[in-house]
Amino acid sequence: MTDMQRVDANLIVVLDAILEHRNLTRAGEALGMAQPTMSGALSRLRARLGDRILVREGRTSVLTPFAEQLIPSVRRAIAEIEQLYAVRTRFDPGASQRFFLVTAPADVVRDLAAPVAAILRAEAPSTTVDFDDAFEADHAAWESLLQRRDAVIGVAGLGGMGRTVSLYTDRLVVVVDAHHPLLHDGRIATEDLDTLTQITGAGGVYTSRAAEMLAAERLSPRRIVAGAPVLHLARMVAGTTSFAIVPERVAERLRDDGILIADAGLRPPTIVHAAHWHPSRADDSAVQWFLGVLRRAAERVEFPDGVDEPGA
Amino acid sequence: MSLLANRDLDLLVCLRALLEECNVTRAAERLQMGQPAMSVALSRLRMQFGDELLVRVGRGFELTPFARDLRAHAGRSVALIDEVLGTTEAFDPATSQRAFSLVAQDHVVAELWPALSCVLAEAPGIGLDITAEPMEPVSTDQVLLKSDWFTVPPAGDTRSESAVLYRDRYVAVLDRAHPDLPEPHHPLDWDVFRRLPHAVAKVERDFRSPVDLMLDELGYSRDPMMRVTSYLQLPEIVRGTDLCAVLPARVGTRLAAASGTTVCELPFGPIEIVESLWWHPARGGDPGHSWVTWRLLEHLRRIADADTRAGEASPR
Repeated sequence: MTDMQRVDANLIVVLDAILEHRNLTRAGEALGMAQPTMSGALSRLRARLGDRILVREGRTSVLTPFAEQLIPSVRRAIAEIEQLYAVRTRFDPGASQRFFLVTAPADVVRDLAAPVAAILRAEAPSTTVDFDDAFEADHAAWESLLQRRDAVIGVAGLGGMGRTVSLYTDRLVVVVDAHHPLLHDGRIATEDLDTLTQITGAGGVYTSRAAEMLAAERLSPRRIVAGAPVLHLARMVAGTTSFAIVPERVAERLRDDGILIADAGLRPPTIVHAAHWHPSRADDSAVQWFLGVLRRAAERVEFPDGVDEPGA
Repeated sequence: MSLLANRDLDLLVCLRALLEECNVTRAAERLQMGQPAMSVALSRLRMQFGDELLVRVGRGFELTPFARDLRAHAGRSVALIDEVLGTTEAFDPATSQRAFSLVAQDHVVAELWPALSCVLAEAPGIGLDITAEPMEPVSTDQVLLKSDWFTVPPAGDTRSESAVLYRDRYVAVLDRAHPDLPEPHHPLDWDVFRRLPHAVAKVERDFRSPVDLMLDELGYSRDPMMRVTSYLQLPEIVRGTDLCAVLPARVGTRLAAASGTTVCELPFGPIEIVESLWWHPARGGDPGHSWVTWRLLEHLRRIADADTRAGEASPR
């Protein structure tokens, strides 16, 4: 099969200049194209459109009636093409129908969804955010994931390459059933943890940080590994004597489920949730705007003053 | 100086094909150019837009978010250029070697086959790859763009275009010598329907057919004795047994003689089936896609008209 006959879409730019200047020389100047090139382009346009387009009349040249009636459709095409090349640099939140793709753990989505939605409703009502938690800790897949997402939210310091913007902080806490027999005045003795069973995730940052917290106190409780999102892990302690180590914001939501934070004297490191993004997005105005939205939403998570806390 | 003076707009034609097909090979086939040339176009586009556009994931590609955003613009731009200059992506049925793809259940393919083979005869070089079931639910643009046409309705809020292929209704099929067969032209008795063991076709994952929904309303649920994957298998299974099966009338009627079965109406009145063809709106400006859709619908109508005339002409 031969290649498709070259269409030469570039002829539309030449045609636009000819329609605007009504003169081959001036059209060529506007495009930075030499006279012979312009003549060649005009003859190809004439062959394709079956019309002379530009004709001599005495000492000047004029457009044919056929060429005149092409003006609106050529203008529309050029405007659309210019818009296409400007998609990256000219983002208009109010008019955009952009689809933002974000990977984030379920508990972070839970924290950010409401404030992000409020900002978008006010400023970019036609955009959509699609959160997924297809998290790939595999470093080989990390760059590919960053390329396929506008942002990947995870604990700061994850992955290798990419740019990072900090969003909000959290810390890990011990949660137990509200009627746990070893819970007194909201406290459990540190060494008592060793006699209990820890319900823990199968992997990920929360799991490894929790393991470090226990190791620092030389604790090695029996572990039950459950491959469930952290919110479900925390719920699994209800009605049992086991404990789990989960982010404080997750724990606070479980008070009504009869699950309490227990002060076990552990020293939790601060966790910083951050948005990671691919360096090639540095001049993508839509992504930069959206990262700003994430930051503002994160501020509302970190400093909820004046915001009604449901269930508080 | 014009903003577009140093742009190579020929690349836009490739850009549109790449973003809509989400696959270098298919984009090359669509423009009838070599795959190496399309790969070169992709790397130039990547440089020009400063974005990967298509990212390799496993054996396929996925669009970057920026590329998704660009897709609508590319479609409109090329269509507008085409409006002025014409023949951007000319499709010549006589010479095209393009490979098309259709996702359709096998009983629908059997019904479409006479019309489909007419289309394939008119465009002798094109290929048609038919898959019985989508690999994943047709619930996103990505999936909808993986094939040219679907006879499985897209789920969720996926935007799509569609055309009605044909109408049909559900009927029951029983062995020709079944003792509970109703009088000719009478529907199957409701008590008989409930008493008989059933064979069902589980044509789609998690799909509840309109018949199941009707039975739900009537407070009866079929506890099938046998499940198969295609309606086409049901008449053969029913043959020589007391089983009852519900299937589209066109399938039952076509296979009745060969399988020694008889078709009768359902006890709770007819349930209509509208088989449609679905495709992604981005295919709208693709002349090859539009040509095949147009020819298929034309041939279906012509064959249906011929059948109607034959039915009228035959003595009662």
